Amino acid sequence: MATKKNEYVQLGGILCAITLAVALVLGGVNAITVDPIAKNAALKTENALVALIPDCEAEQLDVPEGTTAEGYNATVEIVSAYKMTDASGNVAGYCVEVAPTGFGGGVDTMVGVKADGTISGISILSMAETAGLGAKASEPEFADQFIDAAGDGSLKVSKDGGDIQALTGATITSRAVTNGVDAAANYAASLS
Amino acid sequence: MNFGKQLKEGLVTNNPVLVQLIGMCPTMATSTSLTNGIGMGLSATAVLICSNIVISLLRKIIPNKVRIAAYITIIAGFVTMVDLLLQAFIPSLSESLGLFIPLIVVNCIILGRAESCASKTPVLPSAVDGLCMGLGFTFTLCVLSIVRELLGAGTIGGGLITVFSQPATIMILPAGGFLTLGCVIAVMQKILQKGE
Repeated sequence: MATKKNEYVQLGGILCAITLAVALVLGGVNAITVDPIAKNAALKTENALVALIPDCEAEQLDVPEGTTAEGYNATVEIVSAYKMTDASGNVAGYCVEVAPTGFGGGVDTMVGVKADGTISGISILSMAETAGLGAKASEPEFADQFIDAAGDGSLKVSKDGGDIQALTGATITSRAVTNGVDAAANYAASLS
Repeated sequence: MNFGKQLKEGLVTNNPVLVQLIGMCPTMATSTSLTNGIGMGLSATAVLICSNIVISLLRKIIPNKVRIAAYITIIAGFVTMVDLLLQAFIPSLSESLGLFIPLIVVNCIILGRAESCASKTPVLPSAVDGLCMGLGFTFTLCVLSIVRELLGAGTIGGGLITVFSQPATIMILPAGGFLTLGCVIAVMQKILQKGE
């Protein structure tokens, strides 16, 4: 009985030691990579903001966690929002980051909404859609359809009675993105 | 120890994907474009070499009863490291491989080599085994992804060169993956039979 107890202590001890060592090493690696990773994410957001509404000062608005907005066929989570102010101090529009649910999880999309409510464009920040199908949502052929589209609730994929041509074989992704843009437009309208 | 022989085993006669038929999930999922294939192959190779070295070093300390738990902890540690490093320094690749990097943890090639090689072999041969098996995996992914990308997306080298514009989309979907894999295995068997 006593030897058996010792064996368990020994097994647990060794496993514990290995886990501890791995955790320490990972802590070290994390310390090295945490800054570059944060910088990459920030850079990506910044590039998207500049591309959507150029020549503006971006001011991040306070979006409480769990904020949602209604899209035309589903409720969409609002991740962040930016108020874009031009050089003369006028509000040129808003950039709203939405995360509609696509085929492979959230499709993180930055949507530019001009002050008059039209969409200035979209930029997909991150997604896990199928390569060659849904992943094509970030290509101009699909994404550019949103440029200068009216954000008054008329944004729908053609199957749902709108003007956005869905990607071939990726209706779910197309609908998710379109729905996200619609939700972003609604959210931006509630801001101004 | 014979490096040439081990390399031949990893690439051809005992190729992890084409002969042992393990590691199917990442093979199917990431062989959609050449950049993904190479990225996945090399990431898995790096993890495989490191985990083989560490497991070989600890082979006399790790008790038999908890070995799987110990191996998985070590492998998961290396995978997380690779994941963080990719996110920090090659974000574009990390993005396109997405979830499949963390899933290297459960890639059976790595646990398989830990069980059948590193746990009973000295450090240097284990490291070489990791390298050879990893290269075999990478090589296979490259072959599969070149075929699938060319037929399914009409491009070569991760969209570098567009060959034609009306591709057969099915080839980059899972079904195309199985078709390609079946054909490549058939070719492989033919080569192996000739060699005998």
